[in-house]
Order: sequence, then C-alpha cells, then structure tokens
Amino acid sequence: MLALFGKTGQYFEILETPPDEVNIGDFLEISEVQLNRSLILQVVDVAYLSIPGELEEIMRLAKAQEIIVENEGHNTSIEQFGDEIISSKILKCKVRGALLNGHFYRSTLWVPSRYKTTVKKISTNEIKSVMGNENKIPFSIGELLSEPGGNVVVDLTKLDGSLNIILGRKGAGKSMLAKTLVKALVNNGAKCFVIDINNEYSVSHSSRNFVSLVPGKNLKFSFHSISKPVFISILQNLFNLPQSSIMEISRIWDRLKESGHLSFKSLKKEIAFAQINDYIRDALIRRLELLESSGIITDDLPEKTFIDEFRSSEGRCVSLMLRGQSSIFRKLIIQLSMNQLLESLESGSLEPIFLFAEEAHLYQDMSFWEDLVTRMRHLGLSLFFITNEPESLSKFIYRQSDSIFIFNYINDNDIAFLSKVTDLDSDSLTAFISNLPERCCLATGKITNNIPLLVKTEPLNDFKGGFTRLFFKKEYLKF
Amino acid sequence: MNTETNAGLLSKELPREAEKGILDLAGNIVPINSDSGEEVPIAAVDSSFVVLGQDNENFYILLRSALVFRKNQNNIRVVRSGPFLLSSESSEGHFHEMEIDNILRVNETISNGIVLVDGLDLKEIESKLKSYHKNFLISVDKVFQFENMRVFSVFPKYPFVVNLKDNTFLARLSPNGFIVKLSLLNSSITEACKVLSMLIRNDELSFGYPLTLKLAHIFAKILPYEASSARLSLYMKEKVSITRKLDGRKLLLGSLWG
Repeated sequence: MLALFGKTGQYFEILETPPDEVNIGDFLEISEVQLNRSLILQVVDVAYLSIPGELEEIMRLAKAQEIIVENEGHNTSIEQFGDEIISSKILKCKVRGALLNGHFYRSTLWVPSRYKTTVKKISTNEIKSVMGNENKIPFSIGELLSEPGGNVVVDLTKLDGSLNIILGRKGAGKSMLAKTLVKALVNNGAKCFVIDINNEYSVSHSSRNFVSLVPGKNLKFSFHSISKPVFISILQNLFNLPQSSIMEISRIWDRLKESGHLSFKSLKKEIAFAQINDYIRDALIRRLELLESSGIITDDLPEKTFIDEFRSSEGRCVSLMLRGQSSIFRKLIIQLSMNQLLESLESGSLEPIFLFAEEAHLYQDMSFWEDLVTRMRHLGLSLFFITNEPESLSKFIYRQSDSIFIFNYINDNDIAFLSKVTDLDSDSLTAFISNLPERCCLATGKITNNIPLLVKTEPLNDFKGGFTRLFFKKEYLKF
Repeated sequence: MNTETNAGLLSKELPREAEKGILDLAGNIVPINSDSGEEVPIAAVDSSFVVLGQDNENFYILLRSALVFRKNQNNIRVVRSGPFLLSSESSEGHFHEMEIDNILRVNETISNGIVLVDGLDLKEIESKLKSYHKNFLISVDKVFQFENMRVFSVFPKYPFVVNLKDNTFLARLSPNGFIVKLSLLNSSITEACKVLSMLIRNDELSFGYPLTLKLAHIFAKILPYEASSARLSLYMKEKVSITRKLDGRKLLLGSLWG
C-alpha cells in the first residue's frame, strides 16, 4: 500500500507498507481523480518508518538470533499487521511534474490532499506517454535499473548540436556508454570524431564505417595545410620556443612564402644557413627536428587527408589512436587535427560532427574547450566530454551542458561538486549516484526530457579495447 | 573482614524506613558466597498485557507471556506464548490466571532448579505447587525502593542477603549491583543464602538482576506497535471498532499536563 504521508520542504513523504516495494529512482503518481489532476514524483531516498517501540523490537530480534526462541499460540493476523508496521518505509520524493486536465507541467503550486488522493507506482513508459514526447530516431541506451527489461528509449536527435557529459569512476562503464552512443550515431549516418587516448574505439570486425587513424602511419599532416599562426603557436606553446626565436622563424617563414619555396625541408635548411644568432639557430633546429621525428608532418600531399575520412555518404567514426604517444606529440596531433576539423566546419565544407573527447583536460586547455562550447552550435559540432574527474571540466561547461550521464561516485567531494554544477538537487544526486551499481548511470537533461533516470547501460562487444589488462588474470578466472 | 552488619544498626541508620515497616529487619546481613552452589537449571516467567480499548460491552486485551529456560550457563531457550487477543468484562482480563498457569507449567518442566517470577505474592500459588519437582521459587521485586536513598551506602557492596519479615529478603546479587527484594517460600536466611548462591552461580547478572528473568521481561513485553497491529487486526478482521480507555486527567489538562 502506498499513501501520502506528509510533506517536508520540497519533499513529499509517501508511506509504503508491504507488499509494495519501491526503490530509489522509481516514479509515483499521486492522483486526485475527481479533479483530474496528479503529481509525478520520483523517489530520491527511502527511510524506515519511525514507530514507538521499534528500538526494543530490533534489540529483541537481535537477541533472538543468539538464543532459541519458540513461538506458540501466536496470532497470525496480529503478526501480519505487526510485520507490515515494522517493515513500513517512508519514501522521500521530489516532484518531477504535474498532470493537470491532461496537460503535463514541469512544476505546480498544487499540494494534493492526503485524504482524497491515491498513490501508485508508474513505469517510465507511462511517464513518457503523459509527457507526450515522440522520439524522432528512437534508440535504447539500456534498461531501467528498477524495471529490468524496460528499455530506456531516447531520441538520438537530442544529441545533435548538444553538449553532453559522461562522468564516472575508473571502470564504471563510461567508455562503454560512449561507444554505444558512437555506434548508434554511426548506424544512423552521423559522423563521429573520437579522441581516443587508449585506442579503445576500433571495432573488432572490419568495417568501413569505423576508421582508426594511427599518427605517423595513416595520419599525416601536409606542411602546406598548416597556417603560420598554427605553426608558430605549436612551437611557442608546445615546444616552449622563446619570443626572440619566434621572431626569427616568423621572418624566415614570410621570406620563403614570398619566394614560393615554403616547405618544412626548406624552412629547416634556411634556418641552418641564415645569418642569425647561433643560440637561436640551435633552438629552432632542435625543435624542428623534434617535430620531424613525430612523423606526422610531411611536405608531401597525402592521398587522403584526415578530413576526407568524414566525407562519406554513410555514417562514419574516425578515431584518433593516441596510445603510446608522448604528452607533447599527443597535444600536437590533437591541435593539428582540431585545427583542420574546425576550419572545415567553419567553411561549411564538412557536415556537422559529433566529437567525443576522453579526458579533454589532458591535451587542451579548458579555455580552448570553453571557446569551442561557445561556438559549437554555429560550427555544427556536438560535443561529448568523457572524464573520471568531475572537477577537470569547468563550471562553464557544466552550465552549458544539455545532457549528463553520471556513473557511480562515492567520494563526497565529487558529489558535492556535481551538485553545485548540475541542475539536480544535492539530495537527489547523492541518493542516486552514490548507490549506483557498476555499469549503471544517472541520465538526465535534454536526452531524458529533464527527468532523471537510472539506467543500466548495455554491454557492447563490438569494440576491441576498453578492457582492463590484469597481471593476475588467471587467479581471477579461478573464481 | 567484618561480613555481618548488625540489623539494629541499620534500623537506627534508616529510622524512617524502620518506622514505616519498609525495613523491618529480622536478622543480620549475611554475605553470599558466589563461588559455591551446585549446577541447577534456571527458569523465569513473565507475562504482560495491554488494554487495547473498549466497546459498549467489553474490554479488549492483548496478553503475552514468555518462559525462559537456562541450563548449563549458555543453553537458553525462550518459549513465547501469544499475543492473545481477548475480550473481557474486566480490564485485567485473564492476565493473573495466565501468569499463575505459566508458573505452574515451568515448575513442572524443570526439577531441582530455580524458578524466577516477577514480583508475585507466592502464597497465591503455594497450594497449587507440586512439591516433588523440588524447585525453589523466587519472586523478584525490581520496583522495591527505599525512601531514604542513603540505604545504598549503608548496605555492603558485596553480595549479601538480609531477612525482612515473612520470608521476604533484601539481597544484592552482584558486587555493586542494585539491591532487590525477594520472596522465597518457607525459607530461612541460611536456605535463602544457599538458593541465591546457586542462582548467582548458574545465571548471569545484569546490574544485579538475573538475566533469565530479564529475558522473560524482554520477550513478554507488548510493544506499542504490537498494540497498534492488534487494534488494526480487530478492526480489519473482526470488524470491531474500539475506543481507548478514557483518561479524564488527559481530557481536562491536555497531553502536556495530563
């Protein structure tokens, strides 16, 4: 039995007695049938009903476990009601919307009567039907944690042009969810670009829709495609080139450009024979040799550029495989790739792209990403940030986010930080994410029509990597 | 060590109690030797009742009893009876009969042991007891209090027993434990001392109170939620709607002062 018990602040308290069983994250409907109105609530916490004599009964039960207790002549009816009373729970619920005369509203000032209302548990599908939202491209991200077999079908178009964040502890399943989304997008003709720092987005079977780019092998950038500001910025920011050396290389670059002989080889040669300070010459030559050793900058024009990989009538996922690259080269590769990608998007020569960035703070400044977030809608870029450190992303990015997927966090600091930057209240957030099992996440925002859902994500075997390599693997297999 | 305290001295120390007959010491304070005493079974009986309410004709009462058996120190068995839902013309219903029945039942279950009961006048059941079981019945009065609180400092800290009038004794069963008032049928101070040393030897003591009897209280007690379940059961299953016993004081003065 479920009944409206009370209201404290923003929370409604529902009395639950056996055999009903409602869990955190479930939805309830309080209906006042005569007036054709109802409240949609979500359970954010569960507490035991405080009853007189509960402590004594619990102590008695504990004592009864130590000794032999025989019951005779007991009244089953009284016992049954007693069990119901002592097992009763109070469900702390938050209002997620109201249904007034058949119309759904996000908020309401109406407080239902305790006497005239009925309370029942409702499924997510019922909520969706009352909200009347249609999915243009339906896609299942998993099943509801509280309703095994009940698929969480979302509208894939809601990811288009939006900023999405996937958060979770190491091994919680965030990469698996990202891969599920990539696969769904590609299957529906979308173009995805994945900054893959662990080489885990390549598919196990050969597929022309999934392309893995290995820097120095099938990923090279033509020197002619790199503009002077980009080249100078690389030398300055990544290779710490001093200002005096920048001025010299800038002058040499301009001279070669004017003469029509600009190439990486000629730039290096010109520096070697130019009448400049020896220290500056050494500094420049050392950095150019380092750049050359990366193997990704070439004077030749590659048959197919990195951008060409996206020019396909079908869906495509291009992943940048960065495992094994040093921090500097990783930053260099990403800077060059992003530069070309943004130029193509800006010029309109490329269709909108879905960009998946794992641990984005490791290879670009937050100011770069904030700038991208500001311009993403105009560029035609949909962004996915995937990280295990909530604080690595700026508050600005959280504020701009459309959808957020949060896997289990148990650290109070992480939860406190997330409650400050997300739209969810801290109580709901704490109740949801601190108790989430492995591979389960809280999905909220545009993708779920702003209704927080607890989702068990689907396992995926299409991708090669992403598994934890274990030294004691054999020992684990024994159990 | 002086192990005996003069009873006359105690009467002088506690004149008010002596005057009112609360402390009518008939003998000397005798220390109990807790190391002696043979191994015997211990049993305890307790019952409780709650008046759920009344309708036009009857009182509705909830009854429960617990029998606790202790053998070889660690072997404890509890037999709980009830709760029984009864309707009766009197508000105490059949509580008293149930309590006596339970004592007799326990007395027949063990032999050569000690049966502990909660503050009952043993003369009420003396004639019904079958002597061949040879159990010692001890009625423990835990609510016994002296008006003069100095009594705790006057009596010795070690386990002792002192005879009050008519088979009634005062005893401290564990060092620094509470002093309890005990009744034993037809027992001299020497017999009482022997029985109590057996009790100390065979039962645990919690603040000077026998654990077996404490367990009987715990398992017999009807908790408020159980009374609520019984009221619910009466209403749902028997369609009996009852009202609580009227409390004039509460009605007139409210819950705060009533």
